[in-house]
Amino acid sequence: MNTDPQNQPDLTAYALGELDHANDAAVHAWLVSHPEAQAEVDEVADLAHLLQASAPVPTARLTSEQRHAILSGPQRVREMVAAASKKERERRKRPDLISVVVGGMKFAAAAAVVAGAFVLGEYYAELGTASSVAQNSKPVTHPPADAVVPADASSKAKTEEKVDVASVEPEKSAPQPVEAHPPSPIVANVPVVAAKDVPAIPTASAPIQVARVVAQDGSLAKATSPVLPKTSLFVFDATAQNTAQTSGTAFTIHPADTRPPAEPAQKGLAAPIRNAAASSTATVGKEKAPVLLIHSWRAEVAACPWNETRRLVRISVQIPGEQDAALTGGDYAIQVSFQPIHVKSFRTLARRSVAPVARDGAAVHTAWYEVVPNGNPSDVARAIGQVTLSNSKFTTTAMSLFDSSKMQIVDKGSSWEAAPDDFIFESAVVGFGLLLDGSAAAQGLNHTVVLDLAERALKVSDRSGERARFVKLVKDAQRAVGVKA
Amino acid sequence: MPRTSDQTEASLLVREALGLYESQLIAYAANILHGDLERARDVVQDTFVRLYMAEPEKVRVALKAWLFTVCRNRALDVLRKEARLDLGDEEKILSFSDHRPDPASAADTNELGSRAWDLLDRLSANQAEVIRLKFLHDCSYKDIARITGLGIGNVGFLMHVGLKKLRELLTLEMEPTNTPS
Repeated sequence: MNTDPQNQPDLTAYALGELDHANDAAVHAWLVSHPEAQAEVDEVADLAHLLQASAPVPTARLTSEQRHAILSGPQRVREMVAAASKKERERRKRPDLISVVVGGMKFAAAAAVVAGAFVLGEYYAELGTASSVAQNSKPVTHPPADAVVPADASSKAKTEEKVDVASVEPEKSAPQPVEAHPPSPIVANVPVVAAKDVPAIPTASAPIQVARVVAQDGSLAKATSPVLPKTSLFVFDATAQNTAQTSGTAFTIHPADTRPPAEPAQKGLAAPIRNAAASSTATVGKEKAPVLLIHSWRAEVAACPWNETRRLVRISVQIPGEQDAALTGGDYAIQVSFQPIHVKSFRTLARRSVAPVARDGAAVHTAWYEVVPNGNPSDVARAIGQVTLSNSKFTTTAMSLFDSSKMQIVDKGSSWEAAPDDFIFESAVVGFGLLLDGSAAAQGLNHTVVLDLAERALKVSDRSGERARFVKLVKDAQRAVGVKA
Repeated sequence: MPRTSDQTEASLLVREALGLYESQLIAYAANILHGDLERARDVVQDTFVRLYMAEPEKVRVALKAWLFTVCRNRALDVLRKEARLDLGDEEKILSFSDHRPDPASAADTNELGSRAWDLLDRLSANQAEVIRLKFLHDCSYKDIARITGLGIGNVGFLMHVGLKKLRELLTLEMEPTNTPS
């Protein structure tokens, strides 16, 4: 374009770096002899920097069901579109007033869940009130990562609209899968097992406490804290494995551990999943092992914040808290394998299980891995591993055509900075646990790194203050070991 | 190109786009849809579905602009149907409220910066949109022109006028007020 230095919009474009090289040089030369215009340009640049520095970070995510629908492939998308169109036609026939109320309550409940999750006592108290009311006849939705919307935003009434052939409505009556993780309480660091130089972590004032239970001889050591349920623990077990010897591992889901607390049946609540699961049994040999029902799952990969040559992998599985599989006391293995061509070695870092509060709520089981890539990292998305279900099936009817029991672990080469804030914050917790564990080969991991991660997540969101309390905890630990903050 | 290869490439493109733009698109759509996050997610899901059906090699060259354009059009479709306004009357349709930063995080950020974002409400819809696309979604003038359908010159003009007005509003806010006793 022909840039006229005296053209104000062109000066603004110059200040914002929007001119091509030639025009940029021309304006630059002109400004040398026009200080008043340079001052104007400086003010525009200052405002631009202000806007950029204070821009809210978008963190809202699609629901797991929506993501799965997108990633399942064109054929499935067409099928879902057809199903959604049919559903929309049926929905148009009746008003959907209840969704206005439930939608608003669901959002409020989501905010309450995020607020309470890291403080154990408050977690159960808050969720017991908010989410059980919000659930009503709607499926469980764990709180999304903080969206860039007002906290008091309420869902609009679902007015009728013509359904575009390409629009897809998520399944409304089926459980909504987890979109993001509710932060789990971090349990007291009492006792520390097999760690030699564990700092004395002050616990009197910090509601967030770090727990570390190290697996011994393959079994989990029980947490001895009488207050904290084992389902809320981060369990650290950093055992390195070389993919040349073994490409896989498994983390175990013990549904009985994540059953919701017993509540009297509430009027209007949908029947627990267990009723639907009653007919879902698989016969294994002579024993009938109930099929594990699963709402959704997700695999996320990002650079390891304390060692850029490594990658962190988070596998999340959401299951109905109340189901037949939870009644039998059995274990269900989620197989995780890594491809030797892409992964040289890996180790399990931590596992976590979070029980639901509402009777028809969902539990979330998470496993963290550290991966050493084979060769140079690629900026092209590639599947580095796979998660396999056995004796399990998905609950959502929208996924009834989903017949794969495998999910690829795709590494897109994402930096940890681009990860959602809940991923970043959990990696801080995992890192802190490794510090307490005295885990070997945690190169580059120290309190400062943990603090940076937690504070970064804190800047994005901290509705209830739990992240701030974790930051304080880490700082206290830092001082306790004599590290200058 | 064999069909299987096309599908594979489309799948990779969708995965890549999801990883890069999912949250940004939801925020963008939510802004247009008056903060309705649930509906914004539906719009964004629809956007990615359409990406699946687009030709990867054509879309990849300007993936971001393509996504934001489709997302915008879908969101406006929703608004039109709900508001029952005349088609094409985007200035009225786009008189959406600026979403406000999370109050908790605003306390940790520059208050002036936070206030600047709040003041976008006082700008015209087009001015606010180009400013958001530039500073919130990191779009170039060229991208903004492609997304909004405006000419690049028009984008530059809106940006200039919008930022100028924003500066004036901020200056007014920072001036001490004299209240009569």
